[in-house]
Amino acid sequence: MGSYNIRLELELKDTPGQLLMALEPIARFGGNIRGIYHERERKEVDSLPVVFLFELEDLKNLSRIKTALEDKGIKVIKFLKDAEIFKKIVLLIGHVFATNILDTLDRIMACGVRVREVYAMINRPEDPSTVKLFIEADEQKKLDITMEELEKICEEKNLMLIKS
Amino acid sequence: MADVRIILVGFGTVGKGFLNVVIEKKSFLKEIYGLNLHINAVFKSDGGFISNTNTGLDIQSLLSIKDYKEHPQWVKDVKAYDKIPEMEADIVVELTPTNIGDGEPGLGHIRQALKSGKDVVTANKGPLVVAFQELITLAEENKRFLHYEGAVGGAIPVFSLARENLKSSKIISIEGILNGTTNFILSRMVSEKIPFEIALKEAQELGYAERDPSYDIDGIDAAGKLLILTNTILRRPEERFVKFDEIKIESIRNITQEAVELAEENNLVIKHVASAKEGKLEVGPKLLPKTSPLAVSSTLNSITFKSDLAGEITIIGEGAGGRETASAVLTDIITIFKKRIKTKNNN
Ligand SMILES: NC(=O)c1ccc[n+]([C@@H]2O[C@H](COP(=O)([O-])OP(=O)(O)OC[C@H]3O[C@@H](n4cnc5c(N)ncnc54)[C@H](OP(=O)(O)O)[C@@H]3O)[C@@H](O)[C@H]2O)c1
Repeated sequence: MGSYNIRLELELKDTPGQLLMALEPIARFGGNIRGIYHERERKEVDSLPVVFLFELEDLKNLSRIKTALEDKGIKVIKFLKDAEIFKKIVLLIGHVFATNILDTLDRIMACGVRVREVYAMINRPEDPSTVKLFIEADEQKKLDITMEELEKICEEKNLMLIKS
Repeated sequence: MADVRIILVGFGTVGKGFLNVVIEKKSFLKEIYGLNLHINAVFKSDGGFISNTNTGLDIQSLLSIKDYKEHPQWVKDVKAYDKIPEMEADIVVELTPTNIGDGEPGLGHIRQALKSGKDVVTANKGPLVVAFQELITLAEENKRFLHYEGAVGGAIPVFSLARENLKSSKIISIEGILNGTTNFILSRMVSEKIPFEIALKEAQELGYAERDPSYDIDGIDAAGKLLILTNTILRRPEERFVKFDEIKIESIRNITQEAVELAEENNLVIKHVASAKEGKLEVGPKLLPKTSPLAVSSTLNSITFKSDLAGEITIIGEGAGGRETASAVLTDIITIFKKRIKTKNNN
């Protein structure tokens, strides 16, 4: 499953409530907001350019968001859709720490992907631990390569791998 | 009205379930399909009930008798293997225990039946896993039908869906939850937040899991079913048949309670999934979105076919149970008879 990084630049009136009004359609059509920036230095007399960064799973919704904004009288200055982001969640079960988790992560990242988050649940040292990894890539192929590498790592280190 | 003479091999959960269904559906089969089913013999491991009339055995008496050895038609020590070729019958229904090692005793029974000109209906995976190619070829050479709808997914009509209802599409991949016992265990780990060992014990107490549960939880049963699905549905005529040792199998034994929790945080569930995709055959734990149609709970089974025209189609249902599996057996018998009647009319 992938999603897109969207950069949307809007011209908002410098009045209260404008920001909320702009956020509503983004949220309604499944945008996952990651950042909002005011471009104060480019401020006009009564308007202000604002940049919204968000993730969108279904690219078709981008035009719906644009139409909804324009219907509200908000001017869309420009929008950029970044490359698609491909994501995968995996679970590792076993002696994940005792088998050098840093080496595991290095080898994953050597496949050209990012490990965005790591969660671990650890019991007694002699018990197996469970680790959840969020992996992101800009190409599906890199994710596929990573999964092959992970299979190898898990076989070597005797870990159980559960893929999404 | 067509008379269908049946030899039943196996008088256990499914065998008895089948006999009950034959009584229950007697008038339905006559009215709707014009079929009159006679059970000419029923075999167990230590003998068999053999009819001495041409209307078959009195099924009710078989099901209600306390000590089967007291039944007037019981013949001690007679073997299905020897009797199948000698007896006159149209269909052999093979329902002995599954044995993935050498396929016996079912393999011998099916060979004898096909060689002596009888169609075969079975829910027994063993012979199909061990000798798929041989049996398909034997059936073709003898111009007999070999149907096994009950062997995968119990009551779910997997093969007829692929064969009859998706004729226009090419099925590209198959994914499924093919074992109700493991699915029950994993579902309980999620809903009750209990560790694997306790969920397994519960499954054993409820009779879903055997005392030795390895056949289910280590993925052997699911792998056998995946092999049958792949060879029946995905294999093109020019391609070779896949073998059991080509399937990568991983057990669910080591799944921790923490893994279930970590998955849940992202609206995912861990399921034991069998998949045949891009030439890869695998059975193992997998993360599925909770909303995936494949992610059924309790003892249910599910199967998704991905095809070129129809896209993804998922069917869900009970993967086991005497009555449920008997429904698949009976459907196979009807299917075979309809085909037989059609061939007769064309000649
Ligand atoms: N149960 C289910 O829900 C289910 C679902 C799908 C598929 N299946 C498959 O259906 C088949 C039957 O299952 P089941 O649950 O009915 O098994 P079951 O209760 O163990 O019954 C097996 C029967 O086969 C008989 N048998 C064993 N060896 C024999 C031999 N050499 N000749 C003649 N009969 C013999 C047994 O006789 P004795 O009583 O003398 O031992 C018994 O009556 C299995 O292959 C199973 O995998 C079962």
